[in-house]
Amino acid sequence: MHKDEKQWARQAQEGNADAFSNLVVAYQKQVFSVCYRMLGTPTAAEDAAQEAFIRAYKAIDSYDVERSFATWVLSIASNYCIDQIRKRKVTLLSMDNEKYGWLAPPAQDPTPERSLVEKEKQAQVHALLETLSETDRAAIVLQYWHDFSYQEIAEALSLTVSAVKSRLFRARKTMAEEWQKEPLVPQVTHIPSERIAHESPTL
Amino acid sequence: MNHQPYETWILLETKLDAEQEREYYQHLRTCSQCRRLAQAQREIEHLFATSPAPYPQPGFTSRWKERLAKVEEGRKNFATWIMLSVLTLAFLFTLVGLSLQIISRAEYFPQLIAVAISQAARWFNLLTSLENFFSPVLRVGIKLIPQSWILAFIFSLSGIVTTWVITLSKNSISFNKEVTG
Ligand SMILES: [Zn+2]
Repeated sequence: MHKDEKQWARQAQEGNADAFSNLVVAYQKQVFSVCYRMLGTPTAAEDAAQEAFIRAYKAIDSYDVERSFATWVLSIASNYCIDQIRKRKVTLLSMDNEKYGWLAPPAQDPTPERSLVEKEKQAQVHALLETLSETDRAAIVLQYWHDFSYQEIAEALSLTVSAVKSRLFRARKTMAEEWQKEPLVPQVTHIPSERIAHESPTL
Repeated sequence: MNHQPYETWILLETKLDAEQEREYYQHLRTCSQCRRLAQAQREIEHLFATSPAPYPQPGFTSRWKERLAKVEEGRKNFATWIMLSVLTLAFLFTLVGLSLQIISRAEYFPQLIAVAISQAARWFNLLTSLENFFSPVLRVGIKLIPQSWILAFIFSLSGIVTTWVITLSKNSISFNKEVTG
């Protein structure tokens, strides 16, 4: 964790809301990303990300500054999303008009073709994540996009490490089966099967 | 065909030693199901790795600050509401207690009423005598005091009141800012 961020967290613990808003600036993208992958629409993701930061701000006293702020705030965000899915039965398809609504990074200006490919990929990601239960989805999102270790996922989702492993195994199997059912793969993601047969799973 | 431990190796990306790796390739050559699983797993990984990162709309932090201010405002209102409820309850309890006391002393009611009437009469007498004394003094006094003095007195009094009002309102604004900012 960056030295400044430790400082901001300490100041926030002393009640300095401005110091905390520096942390919001620094981690908004990661928190939004978790919420977006969990809930599937930009509106739901925005609301959940905002709420996750409010909860983090209220609970800042319980945060240990020696540990990663990202891990802490992302576990708050993923648990909030899990609750939302359970409570309101937010499904990835609930808001058809903004389904997979894509927000391009401000610095980039994708060409129409690239934007189309990206939208297609986003749709495929959501279609796969949608096949998972909320907890399995959170485990997958935290592992794939936020580099959480088994231990960190276990702590974030209040599970044992072996439960995390079996959930990830089940989730990946479900997604692989789904993937084989419908050939959603666009040309860009195609990988020749011979290459795969000659690669070890760790590569 | 038994697909374990190959399925686990594929899906959990287990690190394999040389012997396991040889065994793994051996199985893949003969098992189309595990081959397909491995391929699907690779393609999904590639999709996840290349799918673009979502960004929040610009102004996320200022929207967060607004939301926090609302939450804190709500909390403050809640605290005020609780305080008022407690005060109201305390007042009601006192009232109930008093009325119970009064009821328990019902036998003294005639005496109490008589005392209250005599007290009221005494106060009324005092006020009348005060008025009798002061009204000629006031009538003469007003004539004696120059009009400019009276004007100056009224002017300074209103000045003091205005200053008070301004100071109080400024204090409450800065208090609100402290709480919400
Ligand atoms: Zn097999």
